[in-house]
Parts: sequence; structure tokens; C-alpha cells
Amino acid sequence: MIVIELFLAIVLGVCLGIFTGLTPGIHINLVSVIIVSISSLLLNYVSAIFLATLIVSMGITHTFLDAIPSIFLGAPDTDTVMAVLPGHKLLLEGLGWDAVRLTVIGSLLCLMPCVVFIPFFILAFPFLFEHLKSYIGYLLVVLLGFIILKDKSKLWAIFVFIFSGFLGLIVLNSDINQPLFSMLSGMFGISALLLSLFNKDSVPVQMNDECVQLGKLEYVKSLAGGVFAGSFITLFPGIGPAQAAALSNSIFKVEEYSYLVLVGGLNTVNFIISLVTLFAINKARNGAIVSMMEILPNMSLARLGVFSAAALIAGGIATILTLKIAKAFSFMIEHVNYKILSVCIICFITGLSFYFSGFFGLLVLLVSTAIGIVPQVTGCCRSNAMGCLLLPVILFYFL
Amino acid sequence: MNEKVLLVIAIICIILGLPLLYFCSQYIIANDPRVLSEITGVVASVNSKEKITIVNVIPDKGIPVVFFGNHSFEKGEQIKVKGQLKSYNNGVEFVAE
Repeated sequence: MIVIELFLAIVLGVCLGIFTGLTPGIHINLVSVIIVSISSLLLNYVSAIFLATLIVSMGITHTFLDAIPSIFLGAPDTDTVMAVLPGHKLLLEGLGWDAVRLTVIGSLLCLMPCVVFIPFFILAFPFLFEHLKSYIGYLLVVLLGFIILKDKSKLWAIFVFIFSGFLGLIVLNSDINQPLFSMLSGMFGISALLLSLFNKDSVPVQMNDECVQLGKLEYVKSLAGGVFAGSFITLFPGIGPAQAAALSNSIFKVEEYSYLVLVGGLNTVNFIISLVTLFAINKARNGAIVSMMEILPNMSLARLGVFSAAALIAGGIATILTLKIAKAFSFMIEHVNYKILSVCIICFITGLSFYFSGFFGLLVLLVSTAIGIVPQVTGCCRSNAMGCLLLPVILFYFL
Repeated sequence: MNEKVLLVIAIICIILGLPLLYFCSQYIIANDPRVLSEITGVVASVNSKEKITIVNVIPDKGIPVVFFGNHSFEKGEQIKVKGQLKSYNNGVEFVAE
């Protein structure tokens, strides 16, 4: 019976999503490519819709779980990079689990309305895509001006933006394997870990309680921001979750910890919306979905329905698992020496960077770490370092 | 929003997903098309460049069929092409053997 086959695919996808979500450097795109590359073998045993459902479930689960290494280990990927800063702050206040809880709230509560609004998105996307795509470059310039102008140290903000932007241009135009891993890990992960070593930070006793309480208005703003950013902003080429989060935050102006809700929601919505864009405008906005298209090239309404159901089920399971696994992480992290853990994580990220990208990856890691240290020392906002992704995108629209 | 409420919403999510999965799966053929290795259809449009010919085929008009080298096709011609799906520029194309 096909429904049992699909349910099995969801369960397997959730298992793979746990693996990709918890392992820094292992992205769903990588696993999806592996699945596609062995699909000729797998398709002897399972159907194409089985593999596609597995990829969708893995992707959704990943968007829930990837908050854990970002917050506890400071090892972000492109989707969670903006959650590292408030998340790490909460970790150092003994509220690491609470930070994960906030991202889970965002993911789960954005997932349901997103699935409900799919018919609306199907109608709206073709119109929006055609009429707005020529203005995105200008919108990003306005966003950039806004981010720099509101910074207390404007000169340092410009310095960080320009240097990270040029680094992004060099890295993204090189033929380096996994270019974002070294760049983002250095800029947002290792730089913070290095400074916390010198600042003699230690992880305090972790309280697995709901200490951060947000008001109803904050919830509404951050969830609306997550759905808006994950759907309409990432509709356009070149704009990833990190830029979408920055743009959405400048519109909805959420508080520091509500930002975790927004980022969590945005990532989950962004993945579902990639399926909708594939159906509505025949464009995939996600590497895993591009891989899926190689197995199942045509998206029909019934398939979109199956994937939406898979997203709901995987999202529900992932919520339960993420909260439990985060508790295990917070228990483990307070029982290890933070200094040794930080050194181990730095070595691990450096090793992965060398494994993925060789000596050039190490060079990128070194330079991006140096850039990432500047905002922390000078007091300007670290989100200026997102210039590494924003500047290439702005140039993409204007050149 | 505490953990218990989140868990309840998560379970509701699963419970809503299951009937939706059952309903939509009824419209999906169990023996779904396997990896696309052949395209059959009528030529809708032909775009010849220096070294490649791109053909849009009905009913698979979403996936352009790419031939390396010069090939001549007539609009409305019935064709059967063997090849492989490849990803290109955020989309896919069917590269003829």
C-alpha cells in the first residue's frame, strides 16, 4: 500500500534529517546529491515518490534540528547563521535549551499556516515573481543602508561589510568545494569561540526551563516575519535565508530573542516554499529540491499534497525529537570543560574545512575568522559580516 | 509557550498530516515513473544555437531537451529521445544521448 511506503519514507527521512541537522558541515544538499547519485540502484527497490518524500522529510527535519549545533556548538550553516548570536548569548546565560525551544516554536508554528496558505502561494507567486524581480537589487541596497545607518559604530560597520563582501565575492567565484562552510564557520563560529576562550567564558549550569517569555505581539510579529521572509523574500534568486532574515527583521523589528522564533520559522517555510515554487513557477529555490527534481521531474498537485503531508508529519516528529535532543545536549555541555570543548570544536571545524576545501578552505577560514573578530572587538553589529552574501547578491542584480 | 503545548501542537500536526497523506497518495500511481531516461512527444519549439539544439516537447514542455551538435526538427514532429536528466541553472534539462 503506497501510504505505508510513504510513511516509511517519512520516518527514514526524519532519521537522515537528525543526522544532517546535528552534524556540522553535513548539509541536506550533500545527502540529497548522494541519494540521487545512487538512485538508479535504489529505484530497483523503491519508487521515485518514496525517494522524493524521503528528501522532503529529511529537509524539514533538518530545519528543526540544525538549531542545536548552531546554539550549543557555535557551528552554523547558511540557514541558522543569524540565530547563532542570540542563541549563544542564551547558552552563556544557562538557557541553551530555551534558545532551541524558541527556534522550534518558530518552525512548528510557521509550518502549519504555511501549509494552509499553499493554494494562495500557488496563485500569488507567478504574478509576484514577474512583477517584482527587477526591484530586488534596489531593495537590498536600501536594506544595506538601513543596517549600516542604525549601527553605533558606522565606520567599523562599513569596514566589516566591505571586507566580508570582498571575501564573499572571491570565495563564491572560486571553484572551492563547500565554499560557505569555511566562510560562515570562521566568521560566526570560530571567531566567537576564540574570543570566548580569551574571555574565559564557561557554560553555566543549563536550566531546561522556559525562562524566556515573549509577549503575544512578539510571537505574532516574529511568526509573521518568518512566514513572510520564508515565502515572499526567498522567492527571488540569490536571496537566501540569512538575507531574508535580515530584511524581514528590518520590516517587523522583532526583539533579540524573538529573532530566534523568526529564524526558525523562516527556514522551515523556506523549504516548503521551494516545493511550491517548483509547482507554481517551475523553479527550485533549494539544492535538495533541485536534486529531488532529478528523480521526480514533474510536480503535480497530488505530489505537492503528499509532500505537504510529509512536511506536517516530519515537522511534528522533529519538534518532539529536537526538544528531547536539545535537553541531552544541554546536559552534556555543562558536564564538559567549555575551554576544551571550544578547542575541540575549533579543531573539528578546521579539519572539516580542510577536508571539504583543502588549503584554500583553511585560508578562507583564517580570513573570515579575522573579519568575524572585528565586530566583537569594536562593538559594531556582527550582522554586517553578512556582506559576504549580500554584496555578491547586490552585484548579481546590478551587473 | 511551554513544552507541553508545543508537544500537543506537534501531535496535532502529525494527526492532520496522516489523513492528508492518505488522501493525496490515492492520486499517485504506485509505480511512479522511475528516473527519466526517455522522452516521447511532439516538438513544440526548436531553438538552434552554434553547438546545441534545444527542443521543447509536448507534453514534457517543462523540461527542455538538449542535443549537442546540429539537429533539424520540424514543429509538430513526433520524436522519441533517449538520454539523461541533468540539473542546470537551478532547473533541469534532458540531455539527449
